[in-house]
Amino acid sequence: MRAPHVDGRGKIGSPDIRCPDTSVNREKYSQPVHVLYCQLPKFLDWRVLKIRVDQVPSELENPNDGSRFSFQIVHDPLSSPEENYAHSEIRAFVGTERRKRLPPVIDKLFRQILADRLQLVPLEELKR
Amino acid sequence: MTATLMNEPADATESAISVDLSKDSDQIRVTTAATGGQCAEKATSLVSSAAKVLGWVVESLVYAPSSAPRVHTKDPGPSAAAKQRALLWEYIEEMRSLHDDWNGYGSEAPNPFAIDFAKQIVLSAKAIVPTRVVASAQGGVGICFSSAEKYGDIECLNTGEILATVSDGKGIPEVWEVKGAESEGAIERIASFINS
Repeated sequence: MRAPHVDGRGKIGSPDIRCPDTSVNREKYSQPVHVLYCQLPKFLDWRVLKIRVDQVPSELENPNDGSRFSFQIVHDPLSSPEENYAHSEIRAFVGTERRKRLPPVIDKLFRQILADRLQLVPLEELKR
Repeated sequence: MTATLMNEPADATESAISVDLSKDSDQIRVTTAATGGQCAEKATSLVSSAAKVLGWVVESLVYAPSSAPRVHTKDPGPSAAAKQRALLWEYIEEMRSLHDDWNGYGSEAPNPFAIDFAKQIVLSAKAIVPTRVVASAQGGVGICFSSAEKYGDIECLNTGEILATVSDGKGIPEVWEVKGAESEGAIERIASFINS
């Protein structure tokens, strides 16, 4: 995924991440720099971050009421105008029901866990 | 013809002495404020001369000079923290020009509530100075605090919700909702975490 800035640790924070339906590119079908090709050339100076699939939290429990939310990465190719076959989304579910909105504490927790685990892709790697 | 002395206490903070002995005026006006001994002596001398000419006895001007020359420290200017706050304030203000989908992920631009509340937090964060501010991908403004290994933020969402988090990047982050009046408590909690 892309972000306009990273902090002194080379990391981003939860405000840099959208949830649910977090957009990512699947590495199997693209290179990291392709994340910057959306709405060319608007994001060419942004940074790219990566995460392994097994580091995405698969389930979180709401501490307020014990309800459980699961997260799945779904391959979701985009067609015109933003053609992007590698595009995928991290979607949220309760049971088998997809959720477009989560309790604020849950989405914040998910986003911060993701932010902690995302790794900055070095600029040299983007230039290859 | 009258002579008027307008006296300020010796501990006044201004450093100027103004003696008005204009020929056209029928008044002698001495305005003193905090002064050095040298200035006070000069003023005393001038006024005494004027008083003698006028046949007046100036009873005392000993109160005018301060007992020791007042040292005026050079204005150090805004502190680094104040400069950082001012810079972040400007960044937040610039977010008013963002449009929806500013990040290509369909995120809403920050609304006036989120922007105004975030600015308040930047100004009121006395326990710790924010390190950066960001437009939130969730719709709103994020105020971030970080050190070498620790991170915290307060996120003002367009919905009116305010969320906070602290994380050491290793364990499970702590996340909580912040009521409007509790933002200072949230900042103190973040500061305590980051400085621990």
